[in-house]
Amino acid sequence: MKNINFDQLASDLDTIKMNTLAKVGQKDADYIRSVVRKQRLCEWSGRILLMLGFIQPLLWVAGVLLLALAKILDNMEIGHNVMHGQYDWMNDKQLNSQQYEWDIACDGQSWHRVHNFEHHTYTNIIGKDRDFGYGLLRLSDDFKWRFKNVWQFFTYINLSVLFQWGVSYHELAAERVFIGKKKENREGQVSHTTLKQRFFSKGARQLIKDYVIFPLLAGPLFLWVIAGNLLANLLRNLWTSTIIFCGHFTEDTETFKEQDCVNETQGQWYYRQVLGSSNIKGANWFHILTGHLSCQIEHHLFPDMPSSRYQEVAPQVQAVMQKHGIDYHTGGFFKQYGSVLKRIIRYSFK
Amino acid sequence: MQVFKPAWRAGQFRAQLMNSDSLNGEFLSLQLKPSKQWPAHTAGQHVSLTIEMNGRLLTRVFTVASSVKYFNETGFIRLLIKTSEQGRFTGLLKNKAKAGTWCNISAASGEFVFKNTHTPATLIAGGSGITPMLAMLDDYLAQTTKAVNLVYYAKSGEHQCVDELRELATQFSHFSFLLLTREQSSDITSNIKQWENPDIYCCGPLGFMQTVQEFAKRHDLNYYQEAFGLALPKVNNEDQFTVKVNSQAHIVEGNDVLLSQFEVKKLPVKRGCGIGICHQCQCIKKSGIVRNLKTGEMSDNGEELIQLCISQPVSDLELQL
Repeated sequence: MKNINFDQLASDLDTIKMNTLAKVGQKDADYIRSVVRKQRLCEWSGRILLMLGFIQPLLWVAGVLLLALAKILDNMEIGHNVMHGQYDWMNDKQLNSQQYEWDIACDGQSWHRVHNFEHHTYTNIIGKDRDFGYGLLRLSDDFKWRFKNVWQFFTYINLSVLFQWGVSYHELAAERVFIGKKKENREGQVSHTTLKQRFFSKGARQLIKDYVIFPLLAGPLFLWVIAGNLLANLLRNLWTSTIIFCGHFTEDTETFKEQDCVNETQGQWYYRQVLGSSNIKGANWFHILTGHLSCQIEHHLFPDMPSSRYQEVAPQVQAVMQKHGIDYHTGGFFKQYGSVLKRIIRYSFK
Repeated sequence: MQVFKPAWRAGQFRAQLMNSDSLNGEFLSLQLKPSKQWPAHTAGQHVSLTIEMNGRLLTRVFTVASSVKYFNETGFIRLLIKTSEQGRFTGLLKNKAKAGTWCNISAASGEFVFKNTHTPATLIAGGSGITPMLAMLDDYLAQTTKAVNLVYYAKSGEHQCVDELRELATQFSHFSFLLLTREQSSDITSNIKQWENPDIYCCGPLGFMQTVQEFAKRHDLNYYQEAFGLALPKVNNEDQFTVKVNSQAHIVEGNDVLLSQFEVKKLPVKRGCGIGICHQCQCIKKSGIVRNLKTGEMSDNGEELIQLCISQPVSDLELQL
């Protein structure tokens, strides 16, 4: 590691965190509630417009877009952040990390367990953070090249299209649950039976909701609604996977080895979080639609700070990194996404 | 849903604040109108009140200081709250409690109610311990003919609702009351007429109630009490506390976080990152105070979510796992 004063880094970042958390209050509560209201509005108007497609097909298109928007808001800004515990301080029974269940195939509590723990504690440590490449893609030289990597670009496209199922299967560590692969250093806290049950019950619930109940409610417009829901889910999948890939798999993001996190200090942990993540620049609406994952660096430094504060702390964090001479990866959406695609293709080959 | 019904929350009753009055001695009187579904209380019981303050939903328990009769006539209940500048809840309450504000209340609960109308009774109140007495007197004086005495201690100038008590005394000849301060009469039991064999009802600070309880025991009198408030926690790491987990009691040390102690006791806890990131060990704290080791902050006394891996007990606790 470079010659960095890690204690100073930790205390600089802690100061930002303390000062910001001290300001958290009514404004943040009002913010997340207003996002929830907008999400509900989008969802219901979207579902109704889908059924009005027979009057004017453009209404159906609007319905698809609104429903996709609702799902994106639910998964990204509300679901992801609430389940991180960012709004637990509100003591609101509907908006806390133990209760919230999102509109996606992945069971919320399974995700809560794997994502918050494995991914956020061991970010980008090869062998510990399974989110790095999701076990499907080779994104650095830490992995041995295999023949299947040649077509990994298409694997990536498939993953994006089916992203909600990918997430669901992945967070469950399905290859262990279903096929019985074992890892020695990990002990399951939840039995495989429970995991399987949650996987299937949540998945089935989503399928029934989007492709049986709502279409049936529409009666003769059954097909309009099925197609609309399918398309809305697809749009959501593409969007979320794109944003998430930009967070950790741009060309600049670094990977770490297991020994890096042995006896790691707070400062070193912060350091790893910054180097392992990258931001996307954009307007306020863009940040909200990404669930503030566009501020991935800030999110990884302070996973339980309310997302409503990430835009505010980003420049402060960037200044601290500059002071310590640490890279701060950020860029516009197209630059970052281009960089991700290049990385996927680059590591397709030896 | 909350757009149409402010403060609508599953499992809670809504109530609207109709009126708030500042009284002598930093007391605040809140007039609440509970929603129709709220099951009426029994005089002497308490409710938990949840109000959003600075984005947080904060919950505290207060005794209903008005009678069932009053509730049936008007549809209102009254809470008498002693405010304190430093209080995280009551300190903000004065500014927050505006007429029209929506809040939540729980169903009433508590065992401190009138037990027997066939014996004389002596009620002993200390400070805000007067609140259940006000409710009980208004409901039960009409139902009994035996003598009822109230001995009410408070700091000078801080006796509450004296006019109401006077009115009751004119209306019911078997009721009498004494307003005292500790300076005037330091022996709080000196006004109990033990030869009449009264039931004793006591509500006040802990030491206050202990004295009365011992007296009642000595004279073989029926004794009922209501504990409220909590002494400020002493931060002494060698202290031990009782933690009620899913209504089973356990002893914990004050010098370690709850998670590791629970693991030793084989309680059903989930360990995640162990350093306050992943929220897997999180559980609901019903009451009591913990210190968050990440921020160094003390929690509130009311219900909230805590992360066991970074929570050090500072008082007795009640948790739900």
